[in-house]
Amino acid sequence: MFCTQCSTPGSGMSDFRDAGVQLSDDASDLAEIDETQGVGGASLWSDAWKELRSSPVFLVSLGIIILISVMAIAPGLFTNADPRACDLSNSLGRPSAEHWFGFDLQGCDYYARTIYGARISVSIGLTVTIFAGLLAVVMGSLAGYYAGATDSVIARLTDIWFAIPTILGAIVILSLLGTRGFFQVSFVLVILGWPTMLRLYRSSVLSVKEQDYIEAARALGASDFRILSKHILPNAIAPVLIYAAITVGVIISAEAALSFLGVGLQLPAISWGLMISGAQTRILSAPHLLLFPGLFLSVTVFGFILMGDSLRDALDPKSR
Amino acid sequence: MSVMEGGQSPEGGVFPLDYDPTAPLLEIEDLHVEFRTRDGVVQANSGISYTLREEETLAIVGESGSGKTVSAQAVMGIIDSPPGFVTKGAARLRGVDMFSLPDHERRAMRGERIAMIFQDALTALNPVFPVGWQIAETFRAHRGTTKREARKHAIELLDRVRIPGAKERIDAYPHEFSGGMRQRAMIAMSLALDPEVLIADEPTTALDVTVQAQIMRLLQDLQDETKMGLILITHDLAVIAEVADRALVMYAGKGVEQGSVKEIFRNPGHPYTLGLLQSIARPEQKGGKLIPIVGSPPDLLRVPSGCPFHPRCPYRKDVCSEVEPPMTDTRPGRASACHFAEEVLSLGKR
Amino acid sequence: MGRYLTRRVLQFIPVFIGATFLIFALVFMIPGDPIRALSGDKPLPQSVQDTLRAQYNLDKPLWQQYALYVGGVVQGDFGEDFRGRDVREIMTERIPVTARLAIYAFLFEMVIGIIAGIMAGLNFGGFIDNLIRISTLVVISIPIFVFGFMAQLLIGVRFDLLPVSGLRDGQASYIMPAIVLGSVSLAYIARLTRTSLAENMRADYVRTATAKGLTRRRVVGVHALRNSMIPVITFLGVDLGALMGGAIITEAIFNLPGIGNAVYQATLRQEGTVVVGIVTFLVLVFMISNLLVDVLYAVLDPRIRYE
Repeated sequence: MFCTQCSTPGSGMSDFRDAGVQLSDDASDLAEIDETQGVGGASLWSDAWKELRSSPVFLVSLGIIILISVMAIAPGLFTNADPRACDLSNSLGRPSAEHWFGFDLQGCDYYARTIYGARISVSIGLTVTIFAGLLAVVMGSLAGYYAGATDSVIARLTDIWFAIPTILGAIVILSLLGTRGFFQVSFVLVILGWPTMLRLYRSSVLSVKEQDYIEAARALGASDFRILSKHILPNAIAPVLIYAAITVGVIISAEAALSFLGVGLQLPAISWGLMISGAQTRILSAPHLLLFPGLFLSVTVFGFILMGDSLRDALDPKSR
Repeated sequence: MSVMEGGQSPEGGVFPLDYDPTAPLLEIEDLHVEFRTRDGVVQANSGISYTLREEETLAIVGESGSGKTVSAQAVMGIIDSPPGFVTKGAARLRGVDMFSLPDHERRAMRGERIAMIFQDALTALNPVFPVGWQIAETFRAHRGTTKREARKHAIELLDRVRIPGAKERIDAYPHEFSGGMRQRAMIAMSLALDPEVLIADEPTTALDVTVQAQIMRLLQDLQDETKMGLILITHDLAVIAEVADRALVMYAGKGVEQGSVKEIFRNPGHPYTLGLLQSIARPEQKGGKLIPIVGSPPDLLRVPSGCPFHPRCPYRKDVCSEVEPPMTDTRPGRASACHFAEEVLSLGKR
Repeated sequence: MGRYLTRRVLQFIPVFIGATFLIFALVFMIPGDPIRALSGDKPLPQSVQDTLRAQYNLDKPLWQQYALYVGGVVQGDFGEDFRGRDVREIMTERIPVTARLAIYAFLFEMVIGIIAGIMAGLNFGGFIDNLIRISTLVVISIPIFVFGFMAQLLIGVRFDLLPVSGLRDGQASYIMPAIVLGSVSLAYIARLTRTSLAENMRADYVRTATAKGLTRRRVVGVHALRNSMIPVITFLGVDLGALMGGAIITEAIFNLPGIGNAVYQATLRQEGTVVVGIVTFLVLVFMISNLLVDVLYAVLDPRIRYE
């Protein structure tokens, strides 16, 4: 009748260090989130969904993401012009009523190019995040669950990755490649982005692993694989999902940065980063070349990062 | 915290002059506390009243969610506000209503006149400062004592709460103490300025049984020394039987019974109290079953109409779901909030 | 503590070797022959090529090249670039520029970031908090090169408030680039401080401090802040090294002759020794700052001192 441990203990400090010092604040407190099961079947996920549905932050970010995704999938809905139909006589034309964003150096319709640019950004963002995430979950499960030697080896390997400054590593690797298309750039970004997700998932696994229900599952004879996939994964995945949303934004920004530096995608690919790179020398005379892709890029990244933020508010039990 | 209407503001500037030494040490009157949450307004306390005299130990009993901790926090003035608000009532320390005091005077009283210790000393103490520093801080902040003097006082206090090797331990951190030692340290910190009232919120719940006994004995001895009033918040009836003089039983944010511990235990005056006593094992009972109270405590967002206990009460009648029973005196020094208190009392001595 | 540090240093040695070898291998595995590239249109006589190759150790197996290189580094010799310039000289010329830039950015982000974070944390859920939350998100979202160009355009050219190119104007030349470089980290620091402080304000020990009758100023300023700063300071500790390694775009936009610019150019020109030299330096900086952070963390949080 009377519970012996009636009061809940105070909120503990998040172990920032355990989640890897390279993580931003966005990830540091995520490592402690695990699922809480309430009476009557209410779970963290359904509570979170209820809260998200009415959160303006979530809805705005969702709106942006949907808009940009539609732009990526069906650019034709937004413009009839052909981004590759370039007429030199229109070179550097200013924005006008018929051509909202003007023309670039080659005389291509800038509005069309900006719209079409969404496709490559979104697809790289999603592809890299998904692959890095998969890799991180698999390796993170092994490292977190088996600990010991496996963990040490994986920890050292990721340490090596972290020791090399990211942009630098990307520049070095990419400059080696002859052709730099979608796959090459994605590959490099996966390689560079994966360790952070791994650290996050690993530390999440480490804390979930200690829970009693894992012990119970083991006592009932569940195989390691089953425990990892059915019990640990759903409870440890929340921080990674949140970080994944943010990562999409970060990757989109990174691809643009690399293209801007000349080591990312190459022409004739249509990328916002490339467009801005081309705008470098002409900022004063033709600011629209910088402005429009810059704006679209910023808003897209903002949408994803905002989404990650709202997911975190919904899934973090501490803010309830 | 909202400022109260009613209750007298102290006249004159210097607080101690307004003390009325003849007034009861602590008098809580009709305390109402609510929490305004996303999902609605929670009435954490509705109409709590009790009196505490010096050298007296009052136990506030109830399950978790009964509002007992909130009532103590309200008296101390440490409720997170928002979302918590004291909407009605008075808390008079020697006649002075603390709710009507300006913030800085209220704050000056905390630690000085009325102090509180908490359940989990590990999280209640700041992990990054040495224990001695935290105790000494009370002196430095309230009385402007020098660091050296304050440190000396801290060592004396640690001695007083029977922590061996106080001089060496003064610079240790909270996590370096054992659970029982930590709780003693917290008690030391609370007694630093010789408060007249000490509120202990589940001080032994997180401790082993043997350590529990030591801590309770320590509290009793300290109370004998200082003559302070002790409010003991707990759900553990055994502790109450040992240590407390009087008890206030709370349910769903309301007081349901008050009186001396001896009388209540021998002859409860409320079905809830009766149920509590029946559900624990007692040496007089030989054989037979433990009888739990059916159901569970209500969600404070949806408190049942009339008497909040009626859904679980084996003696309920129609009136119980319609009219809320007020706390009425039943015997000298006893009161119950039940329409059928007399009937319950006559169920006989246990 | 000493044992802990030694263990960490030992852990870092394989990381150092791994990272530097990785870069070394990548750089010198370039398809294409740097010697041939050097000579341009007129191919040099084979004998000259062979001599050059031997001089730069390019005729030896990779691991041997690496070993020779590390041997040289330990003695302070970072080799020469293909035009004969001493890499160490290049580095000593350029490191101070980047270091200065990084330090100014660091100071900027630390002061503004922490203040903003504290304001937001104490106002949790309120207007100021939301304002800071959204604005930090916006800052993080705008790519640094877009931000840099806009800053250059508006502040430097349009309104001519601050110098935005090169080092001609002495220390003032660092102001704009430092602000741009530090902006993203500033956003992270503000958010980290905010979250940490808000969380600590709800902690039990804050309630105890209030119950002790301490002023709010003391409860927040001494008790809560001291705990809240732990993750922030550990982040800051690593960030200084990260700033030095990540200044590539900023140096490119603002035309600063630092190591970021140097390594960027060197990569494009396949100047392997320069790239490896600078990366080695940066890895060292990373290692040292990590060690410092570990020590700092133990100093700040007594709970972890006895690992």
